[in-house]
Amino acid sequence: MQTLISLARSEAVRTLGMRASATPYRKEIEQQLDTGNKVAIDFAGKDATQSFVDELIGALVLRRGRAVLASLSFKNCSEDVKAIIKFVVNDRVHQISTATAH
Amino acid sequence: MFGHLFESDAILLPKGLGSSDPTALFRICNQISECQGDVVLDAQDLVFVDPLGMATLRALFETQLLHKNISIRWLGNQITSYLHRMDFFADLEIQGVDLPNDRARNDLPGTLLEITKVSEHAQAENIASRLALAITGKLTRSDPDAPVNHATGKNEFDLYRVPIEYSLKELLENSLTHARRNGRGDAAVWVACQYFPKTKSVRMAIVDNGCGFLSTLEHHPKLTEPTDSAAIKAALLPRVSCNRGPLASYDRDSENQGVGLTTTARIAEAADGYLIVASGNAWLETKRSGEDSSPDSRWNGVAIAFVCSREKLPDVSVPKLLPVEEHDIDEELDFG
Repeated sequence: MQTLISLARSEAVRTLGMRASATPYRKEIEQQLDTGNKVAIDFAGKDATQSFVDELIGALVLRRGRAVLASLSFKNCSEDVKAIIKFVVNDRVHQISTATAH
Repeated sequence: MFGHLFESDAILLPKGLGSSDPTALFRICNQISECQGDVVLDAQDLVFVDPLGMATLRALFETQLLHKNISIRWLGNQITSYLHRMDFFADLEIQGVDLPNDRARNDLPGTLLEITKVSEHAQAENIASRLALAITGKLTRSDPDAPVNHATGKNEFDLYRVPIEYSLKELLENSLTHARRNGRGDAAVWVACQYFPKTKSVRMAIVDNGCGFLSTLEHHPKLTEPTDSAAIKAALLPRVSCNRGPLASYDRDSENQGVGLTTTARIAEAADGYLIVASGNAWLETKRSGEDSSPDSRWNGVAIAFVCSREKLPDVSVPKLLPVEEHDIDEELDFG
């Protein structure tokens, strides 16, 4: 089963930026993953900073490993948001790989 | 009653307080902090205070007023009015300043750019969004709610807003995360923004009164020597953070990537600007690599000024400014 989590809860915020804002969403995602569900994250109408995306997705990669990517999908991303997600995920996967190699 | 205003040992404020002369600004801060008794500031020469000067002095006054009285003499009407309009004096008991009875504000609701204190992470998102929206409203008359270009996901307003809001939030995140380490749980962050139409420049300041870069990075392998100057340079390197990798506290809720400050410096530079980063007794300007270090010029915390050109903001592409990364994981990402 796939659960859709929308990031559009606050209309006043266009660029999701703070880690504290990402944490409740990440916890919700983790709950779904723990029950075996896949999660689609909907970025419709939102920009995001690297910090927000890292707290939302990078932290999942750090805690659950690269394999968590198979359970996640990203909907309605602008090209900028896609690029930031790619940067964060690659950085965290490489960080895990480097730590393991040492 | 106002006899203290004529004391001969008053601290003479320079003509300008802000990013034009960081050494002078932080020397004044140091003099005020080091002053054992009450402080008298002589503002007869002062004609200009920018967001860095305003946020820094406000942060300093809030803490110093807990221990001493502060008075300002000869503060001109124009600058008094400006500082008053920016809420600089709000809830501060500064003596000797003749404040107007009511704030003559020309701003429309939702466009106020008053100096703002952020104490909690939870407040930061909405405060930074409000400030970014307000300052962008001074940069362009385009409609914030106009339809977006389908290729970019942005309208004209967004072209100005995105780099500003991104930078503001990354700098705020940086301050809120690092300032409260090493026993400084009471630290806060002050934010001030202003658009200067004459020079078409945007200036923002994010100032904290926390433990400073040297304290947070003292065990980091990238710190070349235990000085404030070296700590600032290390903090500007990509992937350097007191909270990344082996230095992270795994019992905490999150770990940083250490690229927020680096990317923000690159955004400023891409918009024909720069950052001034001050901590301890050093400061550094990112564009010309100008720097200064002086024992009598000091900021206890981190003070950052973001300066950029309005004209260049629409050309900024934030993703292109992120550190270079191998993209061998891209195919595992589902953007369907």
